[in-house]
Amino acid sequence: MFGYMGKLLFVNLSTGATEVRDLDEQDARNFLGGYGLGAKILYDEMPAKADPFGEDSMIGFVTGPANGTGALYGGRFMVVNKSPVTGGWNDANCGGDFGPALKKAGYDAVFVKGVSKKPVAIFIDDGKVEIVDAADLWGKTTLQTEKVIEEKYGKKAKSALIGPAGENLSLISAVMNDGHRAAGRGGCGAVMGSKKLKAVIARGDQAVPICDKDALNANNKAVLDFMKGPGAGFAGMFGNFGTGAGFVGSTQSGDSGVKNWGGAGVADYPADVATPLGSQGIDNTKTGKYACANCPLGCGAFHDYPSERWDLKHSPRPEYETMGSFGSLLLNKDVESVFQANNLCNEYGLDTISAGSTVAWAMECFENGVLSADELDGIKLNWGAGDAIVAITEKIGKGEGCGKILMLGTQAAADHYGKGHEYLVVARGIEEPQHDSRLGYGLMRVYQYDPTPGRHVKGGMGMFVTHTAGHSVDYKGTGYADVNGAANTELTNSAGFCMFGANGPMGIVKMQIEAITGFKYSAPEWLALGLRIYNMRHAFNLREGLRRKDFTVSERFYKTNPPHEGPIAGNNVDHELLADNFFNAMGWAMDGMFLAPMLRNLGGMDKVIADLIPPPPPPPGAPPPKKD
Amino acid sequence: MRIRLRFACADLPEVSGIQEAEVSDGATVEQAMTEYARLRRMEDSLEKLPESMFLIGKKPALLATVLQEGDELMIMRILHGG
Repeated sequence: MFGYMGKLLFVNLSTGATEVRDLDEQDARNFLGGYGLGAKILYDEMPAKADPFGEDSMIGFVTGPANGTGALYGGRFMVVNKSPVTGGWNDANCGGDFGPALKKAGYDAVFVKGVSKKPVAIFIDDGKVEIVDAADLWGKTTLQTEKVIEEKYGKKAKSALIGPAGENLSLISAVMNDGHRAAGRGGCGAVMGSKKLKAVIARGDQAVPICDKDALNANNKAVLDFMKGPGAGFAGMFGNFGTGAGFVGSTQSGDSGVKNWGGAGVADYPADVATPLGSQGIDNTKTGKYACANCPLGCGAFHDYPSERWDLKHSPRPEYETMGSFGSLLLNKDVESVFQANNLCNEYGLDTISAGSTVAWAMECFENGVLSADELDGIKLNWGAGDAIVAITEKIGKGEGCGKILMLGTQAAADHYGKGHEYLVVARGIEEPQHDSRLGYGLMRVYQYDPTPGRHVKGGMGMFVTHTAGHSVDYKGTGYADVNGAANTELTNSAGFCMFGANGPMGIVKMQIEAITGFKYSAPEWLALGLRIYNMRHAFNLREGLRRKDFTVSERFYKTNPPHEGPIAGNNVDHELLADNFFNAMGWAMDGMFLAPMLRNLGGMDKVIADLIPPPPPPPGAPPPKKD
Repeated sequence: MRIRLRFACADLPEVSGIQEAEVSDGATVEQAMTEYARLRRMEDSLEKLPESMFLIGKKPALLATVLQEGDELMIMRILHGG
């Protein structure tokens, strides 16, 4: 089989057993890799209603066929698990070098179940697997852990690991790699922590078999040509300034979150305030670029940001999401504090989106007298208070004092304190990323009803449609555009490509996958592949008993209330109509349950059909079924 | 008439911040942008105008919105960011 190592590793940390299975070629064709393959395996192997922190719970580290092949932009892998926040399907997407390293070590994926009695790491060395003691790593930050791993196993060893936040079962903890790359969302770090699994370490030099290297090289050349031609503006912008290239504009357009989503950039965080934090504003402190494996863009960077309060030398540039969640969302113009909060999140292993959002929630509670300084360990959490933001982030990272509660994210914190629910901005418990669905109304369906709610890297109509105040929205026909966008994103993500890379020559993801794997897909088959992946993730949720009514969102996702000013003032997104359109186009019932014809047409979903679709009633007069 | 232009466009760093401009009386947003681009030799950037969002003061505006003397026109690109 081309594009795959052909091996899946299963590890049971309760028993210490390891098992290597061949990757089924039909599964590869039907689910591609990444979270597509991950959803198929977890659906098959993990019992329904399993406790996310229990023995039966599984976590997977799954590569895509693009990983390790040299395909440009093909360096991303997926972490898959059941979310301890949503109680449903979870996947989180990450760049860096770990995905390609896992394949070079001989495996397409590692799936871990069980709970170890003591801290361990899984060391995969050129195909050989060992569960190694990690007591010396437990309690260490991500950077400290990586340093020890590098000393012990060499520079070629790459690891996916957790920091203290994951060990403490923080529900906003991430799986980290390469110091500052995060599979951030849905509490996957906590699932790793619950298994006492500190790290998965991969080392090896195996080559990924490629079906048509000439075609792969030609496709890579087309990508580079595109970046010099029609994509030059995009490449120049994101290559030079990273994901925060448009931060200032986004704060003013109504895209970024401002004042815990209750404010507007033009009124509360104007361009003059946003400019020093945006990538262009900090660019004079940049010391070098950073790129994930096989990335020609390099949207990362390091900075020596001057500070007398913290050591900000060699700090990774905050991503756009982090600028928003620790900047505009908190009315924070203290740039040093954004760098430091970002560094703390990286070191403790926290998702910056949820961490910043949790600070924002606590801040609004404090400003409105809902939470007192006593309840926040004496920290006066006023809007924009940089030192206080850093102090509270450190408590969250360490799980100390009020951080023990806040590390569980906003929903659990509000439930714990029994107040502040009016300031929550969550989709089934997951905090909103930094693209406002009241501007990019297509995001609303994604945030609410994707199997992983509250995500900006999931497809649909996304930011392609915008809604500015005073202009009406035409919801007609959104369903098919939404379904098509969703399917395409499933393919990009599951193949192991970066979404920035898919913004290249038309059809590049399909061309690359066909060159790498030798699989051929007609246009309808390619669309069906994306839809199959989406529906397998959805099936996981349905089997958990989750239905449409369970996917609730806070009002600030879809409605603005006075005195909201600026480009999205007065916007109300008809999120249920968007969902109706999407469900219809998907071929689902209005409660979100599958309808049999759609599943049968997709193919490859036999177990899901057997589990979730009741058998048709016998024809009139038919004899009763025989009992064994 | 004189207006103020405030660009929040990552791909146009040469005009970042606030610019003063003299445009025709009664100019629409589109006409004002065309005149300004011609003056600054930025005609190529005009291709992306429909992808931009405009605010006059704090209120959204269209390409056809008529500007008034002293207006501050903000030009923003809609961008994805990770």
